[in-house]
Amino acid sequence: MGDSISKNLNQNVETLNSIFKDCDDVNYRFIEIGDNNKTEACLVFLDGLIDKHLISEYAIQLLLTNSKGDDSSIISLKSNLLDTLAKESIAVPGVEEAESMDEIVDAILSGETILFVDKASKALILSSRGWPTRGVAEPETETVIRGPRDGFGETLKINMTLVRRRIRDPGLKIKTTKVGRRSKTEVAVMYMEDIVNDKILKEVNKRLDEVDIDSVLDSAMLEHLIEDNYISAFPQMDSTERPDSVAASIYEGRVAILVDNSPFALIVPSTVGTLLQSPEDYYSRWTISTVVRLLRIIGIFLSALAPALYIAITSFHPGLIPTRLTYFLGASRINVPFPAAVEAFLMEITIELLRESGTRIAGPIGSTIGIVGGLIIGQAAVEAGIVSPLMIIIVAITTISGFALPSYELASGLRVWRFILMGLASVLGLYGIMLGIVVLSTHVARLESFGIPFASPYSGLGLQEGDLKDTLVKAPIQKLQLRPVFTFPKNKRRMRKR
Amino acid sequence: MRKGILIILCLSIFFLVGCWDKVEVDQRAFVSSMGIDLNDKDKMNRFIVTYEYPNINAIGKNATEDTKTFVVSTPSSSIFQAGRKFTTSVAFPFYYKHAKVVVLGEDLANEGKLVREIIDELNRDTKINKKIQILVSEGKAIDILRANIKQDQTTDGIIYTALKGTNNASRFIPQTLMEMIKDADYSGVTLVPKIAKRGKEVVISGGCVMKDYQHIAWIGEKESRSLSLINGKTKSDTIDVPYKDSIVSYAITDVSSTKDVRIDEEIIVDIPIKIEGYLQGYIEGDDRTVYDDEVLKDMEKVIEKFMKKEIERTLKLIQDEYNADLIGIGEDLSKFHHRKWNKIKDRWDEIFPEVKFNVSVDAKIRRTGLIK
Amino acid sequence: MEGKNQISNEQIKALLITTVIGVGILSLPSDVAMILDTGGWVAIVISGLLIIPFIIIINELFKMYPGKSFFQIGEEVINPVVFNLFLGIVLLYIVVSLSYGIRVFAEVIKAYLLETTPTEVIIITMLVAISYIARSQIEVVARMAVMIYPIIIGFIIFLVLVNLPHMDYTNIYPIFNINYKGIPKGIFTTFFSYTGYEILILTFHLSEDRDKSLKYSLRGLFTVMGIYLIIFFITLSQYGIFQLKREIWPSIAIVKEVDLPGYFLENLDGIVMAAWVMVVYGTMGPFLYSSGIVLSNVLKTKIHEVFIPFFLPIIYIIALLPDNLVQVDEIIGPTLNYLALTSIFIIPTIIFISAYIKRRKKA
Repeated sequence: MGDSISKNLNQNVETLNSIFKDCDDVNYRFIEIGDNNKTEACLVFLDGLIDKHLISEYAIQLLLTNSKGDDSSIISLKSNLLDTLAKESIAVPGVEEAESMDEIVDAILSGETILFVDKASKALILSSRGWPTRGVAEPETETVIRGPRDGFGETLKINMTLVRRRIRDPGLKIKTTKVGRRSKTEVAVMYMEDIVNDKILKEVNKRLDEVDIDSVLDSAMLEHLIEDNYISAFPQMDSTERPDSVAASIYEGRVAILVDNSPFALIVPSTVGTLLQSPEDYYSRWTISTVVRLLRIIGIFLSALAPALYIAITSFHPGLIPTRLTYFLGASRINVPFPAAVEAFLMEITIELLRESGTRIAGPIGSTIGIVGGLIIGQAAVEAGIVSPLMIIIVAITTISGFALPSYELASGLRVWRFILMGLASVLGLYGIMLGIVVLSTHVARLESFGIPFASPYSGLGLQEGDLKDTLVKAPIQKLQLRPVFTFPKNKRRMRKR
Repeated sequence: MRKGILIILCLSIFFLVGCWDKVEVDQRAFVSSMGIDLNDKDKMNRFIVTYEYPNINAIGKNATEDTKTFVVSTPSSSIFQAGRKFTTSVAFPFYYKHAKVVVLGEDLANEGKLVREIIDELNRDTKINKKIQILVSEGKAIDILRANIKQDQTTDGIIYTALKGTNNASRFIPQTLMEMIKDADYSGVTLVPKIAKRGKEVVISGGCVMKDYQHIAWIGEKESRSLSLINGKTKSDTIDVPYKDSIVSYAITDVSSTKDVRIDEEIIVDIPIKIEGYLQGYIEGDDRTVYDDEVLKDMEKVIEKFMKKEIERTLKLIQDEYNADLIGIGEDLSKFHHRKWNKIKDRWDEIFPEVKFNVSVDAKIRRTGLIK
Repeated sequence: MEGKNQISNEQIKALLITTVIGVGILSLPSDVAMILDTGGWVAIVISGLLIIPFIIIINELFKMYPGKSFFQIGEEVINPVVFNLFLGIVLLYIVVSLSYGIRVFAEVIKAYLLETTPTEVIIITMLVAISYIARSQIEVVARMAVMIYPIIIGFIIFLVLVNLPHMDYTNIYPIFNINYKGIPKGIFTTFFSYTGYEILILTFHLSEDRDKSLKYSLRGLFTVMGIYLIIFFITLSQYGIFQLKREIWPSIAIVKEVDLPGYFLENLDGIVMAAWVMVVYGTMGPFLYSSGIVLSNVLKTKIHEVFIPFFLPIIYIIALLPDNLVQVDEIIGPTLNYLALTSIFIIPTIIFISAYIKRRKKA
């Protein structure tokens, strides 16, 4: 394609017909402009993608009525015609000129309306997007007790608006590109010009440019295409449904990437510290937020280690726990027919199956039902004597600690490692677990997120400057007057001293 | 194809390795107490070793059996050898990490060399906790452990719990393996509590004085109490002292004592003992009120005199009769008067009986309870 | 840029501490007590102070040639062939040191955790784990050090707290019982507990803030010294001098002594062993990494990851050479001492002196 627009209306319509052959939702509306020298015009649009009300009232109607105006101006067959039309007869807010068929095809597929006028060498693109959306609803995966409840939808423009509402600074820049050869998904990169670090921004843009794939269906796919290490089990970018999270990250000097058709925004760069932050921490008081953050760290360890430790202690080192606990452990496992490792694997696999089935039932709520159901099954198994009650408790604690983490992806990564650690524990006991932990820590130390070490601030970047104040604990806002170091912001101060 | 072979190789490693140390927890026998008696010191199997281990089935909520512990015994040439011998009769391998108590039989305690071999075994093993309690039994250890079965109500064992409960009296001074070795290293003597069977019950009282790991004497409860006071190990106790024509019962809450060693021409040790306590019991009556400072001070004096006499008697006993430095004077000298100690430590046996002790007791009755 | 090929001073300090504190910490109290009784702490302090001049020498060397790595400086200052010879000795030192460390480590694990598991398995699995970190860049190694460092500190604090109730601090006396004749021998023994500080050589030229690097390195050294002293005093007060001399690995056995059933604290050696594995990892990881770096500089290649698998079989074989622990100490011990002496003390000094002379000649 790529041809230019012909001056003959019918030829243009023919071209479009052949491109959109068998696309029955492409509509052609022919009108005539002008009373005397009736010039033929045609509006092409995709039914369902446009706001029909807008086009009919503010374009078609006005064109039809206005054509009763000055005939003499209509006689000139240059693009002046289009210009005049645009300036005097069309009330649609967004009007552009199109110069090639490619632009026109893209525009139609994006929900714009094209206005062809006979004998004009260009065409007009009228912005008319309007498709069914689910509106601005509460984000389902990240709810807070106190704080705003609007969440992203699938429409890029609405999402951008939600963020704009929270940043009324002209320094907030939004640059859009298209990603995906066939999907041509619109991607918006948002950042604060005078805070963001230029190198990171450049890297983001560079990676987006390098993506060459048919389609990008969700921000997750984009994330996997542009992240530093796609093999790792851990995410290297934050993803959130909440516009206030995005706004807060932009204020810290990070870059947000919004993808059309996806309610999840990506935030770059991210670290272990940020993956453990939740917007709730900032809306609650600092003491409870500190406790909760520390609890999350405990949650990480429990989620990855609990079953493995159980296996190690039961099968290899009963000497490592106090005596009374050992006897109790022995007593609880008396008639269980399986060795501890098999028991643990069985129960863990059962829980994972329950989780999967819970997801099929209905959203995240179904997951909870699955877990509770699992506990009932577990109880029955204990009564039958197949597993020991301690195992049920451990499995339950493990799963619940996984849910205590704000980042679902991080918890999923830990789920994988949990099985690896269990395997190591079954062969080499506590030593195996430690080897696993050590390799896991090295792996996390190696990860980088757009050049920023992923394990900051625990691994050195920002330790001295006090980044721990906002990751390990939650210091009161009066103490957080400087932006975090790991984003290397140009402007370091965000709060004046009182 | 190549990747497939690689994967199969990796997986097969997983199956080729054995889980060498894997033994399920319900398939171990946890030894909680050990007893060692003398069998025949000229034979290879010179000890009779007894293990006591709990019955896992009888613990916990779903206890299916009643016998709380099992006691097994066999002649053996060393402690851990017995564990191997038991594989013929006990289903599960023994695990020593939770062993809490070792009882040495009286006849064994008389053989210093054999005791030293036992102690070495305990010291060397990686699994034995060095805070394991050591006791010497009057009679055979195997009888003690067997009698224990009837009384055992706690998972740790009656003996252990009783030993840990010295918060309540100082009739005996518990001794751990490590302390025992330390005492023997510094002064050559150590004091180990004595356990005996009285009728159907097991009683821990007094102690056994061991010099060079060999039993030389028994001491009774009173002497234990005195030694405990001197060493500052008493946590609480009650002393009943005759006062006027009735008895004052004085409960001790805190003891602090020091040993000040002075060396002029001879060694003089000052032992000031400060005791804090309250009045436990006197006699009911209207004209004998204790809420009077003079009366209290008077009582204190009587108590002090009583205690001092008892302590001095004990000191004389260990000094003259046993020649056992159970109060750690040698240790003190080696730490604080190092140069002098180096000169005299070889002749300590002769010097110790010449040491002069200066005991002073300062007892305070802080409270009188609820009534006047 | 943001930390690309740059190491912060905090990371340098952490790297120093985690690399130095390794296998030696276990037997240090016992070794030094055997020679100097309760005056052992003197040897620890003096050895630590003796390291200071070497750190200063390294710092000065890098000051003279800012921005250049150690290998580049070496080639400029000394005849390249001689320098490669030196590097060969250093390589030998690193390999023997690793073998020694891994053998002792395997013995400890076998004693406390896995009695019947074959030593070979423990060694092989540890080697595989170490090679993962050895194949990374220096920033990753530094980051790992920062993550392991609080574990070491936490472990020490834990040790102190848990032993406090039962400590008999009079066992430390007589403090000033200094056997003057024994001091040189004592220093010789403890001197080599401080090996590992040479990791600084690989990191100084990448430091973010060159001026403060010396300060941080010295802080790291004093922290190590403090840790050794604390361990020495704690083990001494728990055991008394006689038992301390008997124990082979007093530092671990200390935690086994804890028995506070009222606080549910019994049999804590599991925690200690877990921390211990990390500590050893933090020592051997940087060592294996530096071996790769040294070899890559000798053979003038850009990457060092390739060489790591070559070292593993060598280390394995040497580690399994001695028949028992005593042989390890008697045969590998002195060999290691002399290699260490040459590699990390004599060689840098020679280079420094040559550089100094060259400077003088230029000026």
